Amino acid sequence: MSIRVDTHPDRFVASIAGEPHVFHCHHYNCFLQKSIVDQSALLDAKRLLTDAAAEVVYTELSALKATTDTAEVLFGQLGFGVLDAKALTAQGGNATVKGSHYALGWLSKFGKASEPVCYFVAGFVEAAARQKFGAAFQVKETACVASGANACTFEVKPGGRATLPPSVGMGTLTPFVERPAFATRTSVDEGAIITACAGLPLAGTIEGKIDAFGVSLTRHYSNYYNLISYRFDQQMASVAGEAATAAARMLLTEAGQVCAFHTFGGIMESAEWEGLIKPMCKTTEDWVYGMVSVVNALGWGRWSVAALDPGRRLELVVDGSYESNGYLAAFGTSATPRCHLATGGTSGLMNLVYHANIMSRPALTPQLYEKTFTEGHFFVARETECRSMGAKACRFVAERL
Amino acid sequence: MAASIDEFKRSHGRIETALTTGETLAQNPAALIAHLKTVRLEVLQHFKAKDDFYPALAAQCTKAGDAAGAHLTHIFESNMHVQSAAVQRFFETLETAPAANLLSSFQTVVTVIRQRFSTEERAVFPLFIRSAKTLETHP
Repeated sequence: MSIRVDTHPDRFVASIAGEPHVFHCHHYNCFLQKSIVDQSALLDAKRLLTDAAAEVVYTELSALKATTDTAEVLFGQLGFGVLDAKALTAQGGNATVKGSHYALGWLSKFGKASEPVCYFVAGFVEAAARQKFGAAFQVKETACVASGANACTFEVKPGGRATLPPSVGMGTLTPFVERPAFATRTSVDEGAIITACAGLPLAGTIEGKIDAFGVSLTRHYSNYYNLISYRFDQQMASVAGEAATAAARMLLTEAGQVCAFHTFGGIMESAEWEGLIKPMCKTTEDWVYGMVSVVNALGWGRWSVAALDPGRRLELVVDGSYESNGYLAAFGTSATPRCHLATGGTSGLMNLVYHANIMSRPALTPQLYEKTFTEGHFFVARETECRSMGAKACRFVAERL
Repeated sequence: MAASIDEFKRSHGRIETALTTGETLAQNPAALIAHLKTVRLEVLQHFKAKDDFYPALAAQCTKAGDAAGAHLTHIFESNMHVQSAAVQRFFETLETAPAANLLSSFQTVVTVIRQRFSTEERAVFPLFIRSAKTLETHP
């Protein structure tokens, strides 16, 4: 059994039962989570993460009219590991996960954890229990592979929130702007790349893993990222004001850089890139176009190169970014730009191509990350227009410092 | 350190004026370099002082019992330090950077400095004022 994924080629997104999904790797998932958990002195970070997961997953499981089997299959198909929730009853019980994406990702990135780290999974289990029994549950991870256990165990008890706010689903969708002329000034065939990516086996294996491009991928919930990022921002502001908001946005943008470095870097060093995309690349600039084409297969919206001054400056226009879709629907309009992931992604892309010389296939180590984003004339990016602020599309500029 | 906040703000104003003047010279690399040299010392001293300011602010917040402020200051410190080093590199290599690189880097440096000053005046300096007031009231 597998759960149907609906593609929306006109929107450059994919969804399951009306809930948008995007590909992200363990580097981004774990770094983003850690950035939030590290602020636990200021807010209830673990609850923030678990609550958001429960809301978004429950909305999807309800739409799927999911049984426990469906939830388990979905969990593995999305790359989160192997979930066993069969022992749960209306009184609760234990669920287990083998090969948890978050636990293994945390271990490989940060080493052994002092406490369980599968906050998203706890929310997923809460949603699965709620869907199965039609009642409220609270879930706590009592053993975690990241902190030395053989499997991740989740204790489920009746209680908790009586109802959950529904996810905003596909979010606020608006017409795309006309694609800039610069978007096609390349020998890279974006259509062929998107078609090829759609044919890649990017569903979880029997072990609930999606290993591709040298990273561990998930087909994650767009609205999970949106809820945890923007609630993080909100909660930081409410407890510590403007300073906390500014700090939160720095952390969220850095998570985007981490994502670009590892995921974009991994893709540009992958066999798939070597076989399909590199032969189309006649110039260094084509590597930028090639990566933008791959991004357009990840469910992040439609990225277009609007201007590219080789080695100096990149301007990107993003139609239907999942961040702005979700922000507008869940939080309304904003006074400031909201696409932190895409901002970090823009600087990350230019740094990989023109600063870290990704064409020479360097090892994507923490040391290289540090060097790439802090030494020499690296690129910095900013979002100059954002749909959440009323623009028709989101626009990003990366420039060399 | 109270005096240093006021001095930082005055310095922000002087540097902003110098950057605005620099923007009018962007078509003339020689004139731009000559102008930037006149403000180089102030900019370098300013950013070096800021590098020292953040650890001092974190210590002040801790002393004032403002754990949240200290925590946030550490986040700012690491982010600002990276930018600071890049801005200092730009001003230290005015004579040796190729003209084309200098012009485009100047625009980026201006953007980064303005964003930084704005963040500091909006978010960081109030942390200082808050903790300083606490220490005044409960030394």
